Amino acid sequence: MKSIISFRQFTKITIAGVFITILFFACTERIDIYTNQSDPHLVIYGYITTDTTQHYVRITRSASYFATTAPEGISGANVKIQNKETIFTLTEDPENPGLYLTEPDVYGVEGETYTLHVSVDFDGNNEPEEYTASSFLPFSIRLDSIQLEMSEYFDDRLDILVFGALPENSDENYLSFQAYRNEYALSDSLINWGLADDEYIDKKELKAVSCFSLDLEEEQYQLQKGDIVSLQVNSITEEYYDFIWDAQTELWGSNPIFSGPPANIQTNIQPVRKENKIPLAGFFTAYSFKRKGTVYNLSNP
Amino acid sequence: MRIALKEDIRLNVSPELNTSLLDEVIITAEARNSNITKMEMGTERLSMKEIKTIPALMGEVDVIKAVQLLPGVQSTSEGLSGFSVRGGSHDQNLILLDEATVYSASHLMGFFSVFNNDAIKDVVLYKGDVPATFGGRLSSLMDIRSKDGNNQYFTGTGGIGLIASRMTLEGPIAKDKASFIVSGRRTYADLFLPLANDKNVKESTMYFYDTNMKVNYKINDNNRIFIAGYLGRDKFETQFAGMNFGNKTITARWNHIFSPRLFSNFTLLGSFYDYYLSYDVTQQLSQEWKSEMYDYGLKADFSWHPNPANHIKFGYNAIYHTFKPGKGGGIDEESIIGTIKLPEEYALEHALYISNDMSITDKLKVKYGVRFSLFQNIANGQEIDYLHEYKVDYSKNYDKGTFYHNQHQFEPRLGVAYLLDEKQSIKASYSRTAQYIQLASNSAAGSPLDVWFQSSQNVKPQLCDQFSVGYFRNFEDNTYEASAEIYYKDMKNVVDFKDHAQLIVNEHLEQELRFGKGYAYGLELMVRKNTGRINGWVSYTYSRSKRRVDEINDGNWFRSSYDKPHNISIVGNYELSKKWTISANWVYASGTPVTYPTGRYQIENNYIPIYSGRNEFRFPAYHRLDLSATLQLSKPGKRLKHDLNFSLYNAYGRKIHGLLYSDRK
Repeated sequence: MKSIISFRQFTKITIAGVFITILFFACTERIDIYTNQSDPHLVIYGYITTDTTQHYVRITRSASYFATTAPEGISGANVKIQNKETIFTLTEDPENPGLYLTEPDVYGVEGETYTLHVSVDFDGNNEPEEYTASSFLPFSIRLDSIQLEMSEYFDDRLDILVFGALPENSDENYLSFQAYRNEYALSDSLINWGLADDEYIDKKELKAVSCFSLDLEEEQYQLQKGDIVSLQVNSITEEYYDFIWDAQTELWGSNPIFSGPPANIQTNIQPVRKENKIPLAGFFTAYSFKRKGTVYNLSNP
Repeated sequence: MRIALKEDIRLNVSPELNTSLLDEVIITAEARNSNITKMEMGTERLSMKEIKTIPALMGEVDVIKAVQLLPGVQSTSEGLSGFSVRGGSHDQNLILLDEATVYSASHLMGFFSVFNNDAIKDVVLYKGDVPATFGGRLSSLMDIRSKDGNNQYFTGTGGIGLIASRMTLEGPIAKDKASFIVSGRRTYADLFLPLANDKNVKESTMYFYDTNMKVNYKINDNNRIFIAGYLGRDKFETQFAGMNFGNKTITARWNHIFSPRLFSNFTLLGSFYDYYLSYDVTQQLSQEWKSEMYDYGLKADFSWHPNPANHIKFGYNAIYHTFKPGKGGGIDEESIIGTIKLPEEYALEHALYISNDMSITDKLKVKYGVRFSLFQNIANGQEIDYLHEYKVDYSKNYDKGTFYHNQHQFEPRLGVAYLLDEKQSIKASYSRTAQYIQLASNSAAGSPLDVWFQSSQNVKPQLCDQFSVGYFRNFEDNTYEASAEIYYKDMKNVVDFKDHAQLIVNEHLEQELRFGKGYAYGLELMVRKNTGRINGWVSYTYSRSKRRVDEINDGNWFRSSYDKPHNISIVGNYELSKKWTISANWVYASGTPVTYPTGRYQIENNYIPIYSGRNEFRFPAYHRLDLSATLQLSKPGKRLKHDLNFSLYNAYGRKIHGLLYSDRK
């Protein structure tokens, strides 16, 4: 599933097309690799959106690459999200160690900047270390409606077309997309999110722009007539866009012709004290979103 | 044939046809022990005859694939034409075809080189001791010369291969005065694409072609001219995306003999490279992208023999570079994609050089010279950004055509050779090289979509100081040549890229760059037999290459992607009979350095990898055996010659890591 608006994605998709053609002549062989284990990283990930809901921040410890257990949550942290007027204090879910939740009536406001504060003893020296990260909450797009259409070029692919407009009060827009079927998330993992930016788009109006596509051959995307298909369009920051992009790049893998060496994903989580050398990962962000649905009444191919 | 140099003589040597009464006639331009007596070291020469005997992938004989079998040279990736010389990057090799730069020397995403063997005369690779005449790259010079064309009678050469066919015609325009050669090649792999099951592959287009042309004209004994050209292109098209790219080069040279002691070459050059991408799934999102670069150059080279003990070369050369890294936009009127044009860049790269090969005694020779290079950035009328810590600090406007930034280097070349006797010598050399343009590529192998960018107020030229020492020994009346060379390279201002750098479609490319230093060292051993029914070579290379960049790998030293300590090449060719010739080569190389995941964390239902230090691990070692057999179908002395070649690539079927990529599963 991909949305294609930016040149960056355009080049990636074009390259991928050629690369796939080349691989037509080759066969693949899985090889085993032997690797060691990196130092444990403190992983902090969370966000605040314009939705009125219980927001969360998850704090975990990284594991070895071949670990088979769930990530270890880090308990006992003090977690707050604040803007210039309000402080939201998060409390740890007693049933999910490392999961910190706001009250259920919390929401973010477009145009505001939110800062995450975390105080946690990760290295076990009985002295909590402090971390912080900030994010602007971007303006949302105008989403009038969506429309479903079978792809003209790809077999078994359903395009989700967007009608609406990019925000007038924002010159740079970065969008992510998630699809739902009857409120069930079809793109429930980061690798399946769509991404787009408007760096080289000179029109605000979006008329039937293909922003997402579903591969109906895949079991989880097989739709039934009457299903409600929804598209959520998130307006995200450039930094979070890069975070998702880089994570997807690492998850999709690389090849020696077009890809650079693998590299760790940048985090915006910063230690308050510079002498704190605990390795960090994760991200804190704020975003706005709009969602629209439509009834699927096309015949399955 | 021995010639006593007692007086000025002019001797034209033309080999006669039909030598069947003799067992063998060997005519060489140089003495058989020239590898011992000549000053040069770190230099490898291959004739097309040698290259043609080497087993080839899909039967397509390839100059660069042959060069990759030489000591100190490594393939950047299995099957690809990119190569690394003595631990240098693939963009640190200057590849010249008739002195014109070839910027992207590969077809089919790198699986074949752009050089059609039927049109090539020979290839010389300088791995470090690059003559002062040439410059502009840190690691090597690959000097490829095309055939001149037969000035006696018409001949034709053709070949039908598994994926491509080729045809060459050559002959006199005016006997003994003017000749021509025209050569062409095209693949037809795309003919098989309709057999694919995948609809997208089935309706794809994929081919390349190239043509070479050369015309020679001998005005008189003191004046000759030639014009040579190359044109090649690759084209890929799927249902929804397209890509095509290609090189063009042109060379016009006037060779003038002022006197028996002073020779000259005046050359005009042109090199062009471009690529085009298109994407057309929906009208609103249809878009295209094109990138171009071209060079216009001139050279004046003089060769002066004031006396038998000195050979002085001097001259000047200049290249006017134009970089158009990209422009694009929507294709359809309905497209919502705006237009984008990355800033065009212009520069003048020129150099003055002088060098002398000097015989101090019969046994002791020295070589000394210097190349003064100057690189001048030329304003295009747009704002020029000055960076501080990779962010724009301030910008300035210059009038169009202004030389707004100059950088220069003195590049000394020194060498000494001492003949222990007729059969053995020791040599040492030092050279400094500077590189002012480089590829925006952070992949090990490189791709045709990489763009070149120039040194500037934000990018210092890359520098390399190379020291090497060698021992050369011939055996059995120069039948066997043996050599041992060690080298050390110290590199400064090495260009690397920040993690997850965006190198395509980026107006602010310089902000993605990071700079550091590097070193490489190694040992190269080789035994070679050039003549007789059995010929070939055995070589072993020990090679290390490290880099250090403050912003990468926490500022610690890391292996470069070309750090492969052990390399072995065995190349053999045996004339079984007058009809049959068999050849084999076996290569072994340590595994390519790789960055492996060493941890993971979970975000949004995905496990994100945490990586080791840059290139901390290695892929498994690589080895491969290739075989070939050639059956001569025509009888010796016949004008129509035809043979049949069978090649078996990877004969024992080792699973070769071609395009290695990680899998998210």
